[in-house]
Amino acid sequence: MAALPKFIGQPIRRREDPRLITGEGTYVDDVKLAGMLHAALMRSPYAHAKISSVDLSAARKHPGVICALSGEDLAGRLPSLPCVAPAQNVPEHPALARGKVRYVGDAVAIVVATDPYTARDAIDLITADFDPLPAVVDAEKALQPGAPLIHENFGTNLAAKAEMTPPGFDKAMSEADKTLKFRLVNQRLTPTMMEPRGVVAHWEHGYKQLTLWSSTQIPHLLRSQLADMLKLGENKIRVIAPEVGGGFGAKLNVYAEEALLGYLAMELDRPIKWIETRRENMAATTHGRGHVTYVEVGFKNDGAITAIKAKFFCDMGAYLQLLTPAIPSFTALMVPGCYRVGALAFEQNLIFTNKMATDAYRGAGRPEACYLIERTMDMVAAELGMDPVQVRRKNFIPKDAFPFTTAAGLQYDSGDYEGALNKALAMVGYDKLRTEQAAARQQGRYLGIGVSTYVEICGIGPSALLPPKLKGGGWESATVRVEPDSKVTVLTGVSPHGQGQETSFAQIAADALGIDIDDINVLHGDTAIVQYGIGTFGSRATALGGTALVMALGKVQEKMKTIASRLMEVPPQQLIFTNRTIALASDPSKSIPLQKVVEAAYGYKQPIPGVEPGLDASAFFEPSGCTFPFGTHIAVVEVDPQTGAVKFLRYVAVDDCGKIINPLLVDGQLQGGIAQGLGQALYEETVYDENGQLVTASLMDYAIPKAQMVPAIEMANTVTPTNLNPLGVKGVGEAGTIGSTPCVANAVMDALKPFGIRHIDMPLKPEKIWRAIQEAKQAKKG
Amino acid sequence: MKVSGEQVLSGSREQVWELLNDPDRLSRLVPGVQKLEILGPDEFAGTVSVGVAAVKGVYSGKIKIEDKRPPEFYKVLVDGKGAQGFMRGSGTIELQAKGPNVTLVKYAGDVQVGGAVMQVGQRMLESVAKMTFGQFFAAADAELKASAKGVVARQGILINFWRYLVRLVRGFFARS
Repeated sequence: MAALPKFIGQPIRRREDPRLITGEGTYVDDVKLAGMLHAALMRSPYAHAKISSVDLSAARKHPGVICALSGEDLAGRLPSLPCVAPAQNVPEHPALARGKVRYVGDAVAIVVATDPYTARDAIDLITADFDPLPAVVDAEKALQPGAPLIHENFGTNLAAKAEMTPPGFDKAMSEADKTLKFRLVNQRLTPTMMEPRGVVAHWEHGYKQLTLWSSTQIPHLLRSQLADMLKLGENKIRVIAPEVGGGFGAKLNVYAEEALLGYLAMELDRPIKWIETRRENMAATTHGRGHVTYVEVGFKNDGAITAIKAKFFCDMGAYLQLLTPAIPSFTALMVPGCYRVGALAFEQNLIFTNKMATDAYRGAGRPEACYLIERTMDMVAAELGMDPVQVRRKNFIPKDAFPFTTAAGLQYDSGDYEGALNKALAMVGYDKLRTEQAAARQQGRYLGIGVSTYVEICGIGPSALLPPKLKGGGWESATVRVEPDSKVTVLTGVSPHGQGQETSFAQIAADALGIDIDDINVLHGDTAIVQYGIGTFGSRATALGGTALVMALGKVQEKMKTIASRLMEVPPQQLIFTNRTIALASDPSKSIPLQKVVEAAYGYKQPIPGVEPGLDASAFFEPSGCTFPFGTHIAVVEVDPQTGAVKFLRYVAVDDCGKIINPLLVDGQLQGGIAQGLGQALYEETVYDENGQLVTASLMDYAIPKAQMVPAIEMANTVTPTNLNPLGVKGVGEAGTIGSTPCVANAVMDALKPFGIRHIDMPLKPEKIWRAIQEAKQAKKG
Repeated sequence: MKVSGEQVLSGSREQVWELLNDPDRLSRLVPGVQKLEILGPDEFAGTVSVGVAAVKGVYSGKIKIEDKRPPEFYKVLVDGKGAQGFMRGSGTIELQAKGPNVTLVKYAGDVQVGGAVMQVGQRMLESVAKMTFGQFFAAADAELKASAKGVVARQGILINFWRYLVRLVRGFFARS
């Protein structure tokens, strides 16, 4: 047999793709069970209204309808939906609204019928009387006296308030030569995933066991919360996350439909399916971002930042979902970015509005922080007439200062911000571009060069950093089973849904055991098969789940070495795994086939005395700290002053996510991340009108970037490993989204500099840019 | 959504006022009316079928007339809903005599729309509202002209759509 290559570091194509692109994957909607019923929900068309009555009689009489329930019917039968993150005011959150509806899309009633069409028809037969109340849509206005209260019992629309002004802050601010104050809007976004949510619940009465398929990122955490709500043992609920067609944080949650279907499957003793429609997905799956920030920055004449003060108004929506109030805290922590900011003070107001709840969306708090600090850098540069690159260099945390504790109190593990910046500048030809830009301006062409030097936080741990109510810490788990035929099964606690760990984890295991990746099967997303795990979010899967895998592999290796050393009569420390054998490190020709060792472990002939039979091991990795991937993105754009349209000329991304297991997967994550990030900069915005009606309720009105709107991205890496895990990996799932948004916004603002325009809020739609240009021209004339 | 406009009708202010206060005739002239019941003085219940883009639905609700100043002004309150959404709001109608047989009707309204009709059809709402008003006034004009001659005007979706188009074209030339 040919010698096996090393797999780590190779651009191996995703092993999951053939089944996905030929339609052979199993998504929730592909699950079909005998006797399965179908559910549909009636949702509130009002943003804020008293529910006077819900008349279900006609729906119940409709042929094919099995049951129809309103919020009142469920009172005392299904507890509040969980919010595990701490907040001063956590509202009761019933799965079906009781008394009041608080946003357009709030579930009012559920119908279960023999087929999905009948269920939908029966929804139309429900007559509900609402008594409309004034709605609060704007988070800042929601705090004004006299604003309508969304949850009357709190006497305020404030969910929580956090403040921090360190001693010495005022002194740091007073040391500034200049200060700037400005307002930034990080608009609300809809985390548009290809596959909307879906649930199938199956109660097996004889076994007293509930199986729930859900399009989720967190099968185990979901199981724990459902066990609480449905009063079942965790050993009696099996949650399966089959193929999941994208989540982006919006499936890192526990939703009403998951609880409702579990409950009704048990009540009716029939399997039930619910598949979300796109319009429901836009209205009733969590949104992201939604911050208004007032920034005050103090700086020296040489560009050094002495102090930053940020006052946040964060839009929570009407209820707090699983982690809603936790997301803004990542923003506060990451405000200093990759800079030695002298001092940081912040105030965060988390505010209820008559809108869908916000929660994690790709980047989850870090894109907001990165946008804040990177726009600030450009604002300072513009004020001082400096090159934005110079301002960044002036403030960078130097390479030799790590581990470094920032003004926000976080300890960064490692970094080389100059390194990534220099590489990106060289790739784009920065100095030459500036000359070209000046020449183009002479010809009336408006080129803009935007830079963002981002840093983010990944692999969140140790466990103490996570809310205890989550019932799972910052760790991750893995099991390695070497089967009797030497084929290997890997069970990972992470729940990949597009990230490609079936490939990258197989690469890690193959190298460790000296076998082919085709001999490895990576299983995930089934709580009855996989040991407890935390899931996939926050760019944690490889840094934490990959490390747990390395640890489990280590345990299996130890046992195999023990057995091999008995069979070969050499000390175990001298053995290595190579080419399907266990060999002497000093002389690999002295080896024993792996299969022989496996046979000995399983006792084919006879067990090895003193060695327990079997060959598997589990490991749980608890990190000692978070990782901080970073990079530099540079966008070159041209703005058409006649139409305000933005065209990409170049896009360069240099990212440092530590060591790379599979460069193809890293590039893929960055490509997708950058597309979503530039979507926020230029196109996307979740819009509610002044009455709280959702205007962007379909993909006709919500502008995600299409293929032709995404430029060809020139990608490169720098590699600064972390010592927080043995793989030296940091995480890359969100980096593209975090780095790209401010980079594109900075590029557009740079293009508009000749007009004297300093800032326009995102999304930078042609109309907004055109208006700003016209206003600037008017102002000049006036 | 805010709607406003003005239309010229062929009739005296009194004739127009009478027409705009006659539920029987109105129910024939307003496009899509399936039913209009009198609940009391100046209070009606009705059922209308409206299609906005892909969202076609039947809406039922109440209409109330307030602040009546015959023959020149009234305020109308609308509160309707259906499986596809709801409409709530108020509007005003003002009549100005422009000649013995010419009356200018000014209308303005502010309506809140919600539900599927809003979520899918919001970009069409204004044009649909404009067209509905246009068809209504075309029908009303025909009705007034016919009753001046002592005959009964033909009413129907197609003929009123045609009348609406003719008025649009005439209006266009009148302006230029």
